[in-house]
Amino acid sequence: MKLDAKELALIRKYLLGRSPQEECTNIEQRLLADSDYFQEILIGEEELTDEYVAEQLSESDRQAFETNFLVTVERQRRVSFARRWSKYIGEATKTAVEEEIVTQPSELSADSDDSVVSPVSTVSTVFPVFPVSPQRRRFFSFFPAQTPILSYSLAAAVLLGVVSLSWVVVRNWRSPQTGGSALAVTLTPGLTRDGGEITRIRLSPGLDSVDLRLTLPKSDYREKSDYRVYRSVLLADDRSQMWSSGDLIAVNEAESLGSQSDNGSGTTFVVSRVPARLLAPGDYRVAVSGRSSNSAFEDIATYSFRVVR
Amino acid sequence: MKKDWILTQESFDALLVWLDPAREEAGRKYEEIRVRLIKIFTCRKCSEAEDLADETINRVSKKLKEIESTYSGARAPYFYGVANKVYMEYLRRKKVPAPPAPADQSDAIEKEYACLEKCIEDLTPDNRELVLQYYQGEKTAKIVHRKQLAEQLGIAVNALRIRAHRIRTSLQDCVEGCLQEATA
Repeated sequence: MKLDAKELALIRKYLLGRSPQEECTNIEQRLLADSDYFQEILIGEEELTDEYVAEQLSESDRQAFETNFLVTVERQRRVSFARRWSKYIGEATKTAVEEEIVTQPSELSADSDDSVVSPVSTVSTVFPVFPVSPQRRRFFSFFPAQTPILSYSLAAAVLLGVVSLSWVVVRNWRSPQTGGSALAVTLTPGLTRDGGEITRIRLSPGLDSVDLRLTLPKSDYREKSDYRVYRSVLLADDRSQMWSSGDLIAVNEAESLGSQSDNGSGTTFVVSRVPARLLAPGDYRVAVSGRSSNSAFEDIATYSFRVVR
Repeated sequence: MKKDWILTQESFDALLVWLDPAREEAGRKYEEIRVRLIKIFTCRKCSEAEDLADETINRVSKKLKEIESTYSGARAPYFYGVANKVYMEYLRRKKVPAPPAPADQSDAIEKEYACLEKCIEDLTPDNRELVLQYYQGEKTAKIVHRKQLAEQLGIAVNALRIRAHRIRTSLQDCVEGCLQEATA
């Protein structure tokens, strides 16, 4: 859904607490009933927060923002995050520009007398790209070797070391029974509140992690097989988010056991590993969403469990 | 606020059925309505937005037996009507002052920044590239840049805006999870 400028202005006015009652009612009824419109509200909040952090709001908007918008802990956290995000982006841009200047001196000097930006400039020439984070680039600048051959040799040695270490880490991670202890628990979708059937997980002392094997509803794997990856979010009983795992891949039990048939038999699941130390006794929920081919996450299922010690 | 009625599993199940006969769909609708009610109460400057949303849902559940045979049409407007009543009661009560803004302490800033770096590294390369590209620049340059980025990706600017927002939201969720883990 694409809103026109007038509608976006109304959302902004609403978020700053300046809408008259009738407008508030219209906006609230719509955000309650319309997912796309609700998303526009969320994006509007984000854009307003970014403008506040960048000190781009007018004086009256800034006052309205502080008085009417910044009233909850959650929104204050968003401002805090926006500050960190803005700093990160600023540093990443600066570092990437420095990299371009270092790696392309001849191109820059050749173009330096030309003040006209080429109309066919690609994005990467207007704004630098970010293959790695700014901090990692600074780290590589500490390499003592100044000649290219020595630098590349040193980089290759470091890379080899990192790959070897990663291999060891991945091996250990994939074989938790040989390293840290992990408990595997299978959960099926379902909602409960205030009682009802709930899976109980007893955590023994010294347990490192819990592998939540989240059984996917059959229709979501078979009919919507365009989900590339899945994401799980662990929620505490008060709905606060405790942990999230992204880029989870669905596994079909029958297929993983070598069955050649594609008749949809077998349970399909994703595994989300949660550090055991996060799980104090109490009730938890896990929300699983799938990322479709258009990169949008769609809610799939919710799971409940109770931790006891 | 009236809290003499407690939501039971039975009434919660009945609410889900009223929202949608299919259990999974009902659960999804329930979560959507709850999150949006929280947003409405937040926009009305209520410091107890989550409690008010839950109270709204509880009251709808309580009324369900009376209305389910006669009420037809979309469920959201009914929740909205109840939310307005809950809000009026909230205004009549003594208000809880809004929490003070947390001070940005240097160690907390460092932790958050470290978590942010970790979470950015955890993004897929495509998402990392997109979100870093999308949010750079200022004012006019930013707008021009986003148009170019959308063209490069072959999607509309608004689709790019939504995609970037979702990645950033997941990033913030990741950072919050990382911070909780660090303080656990």
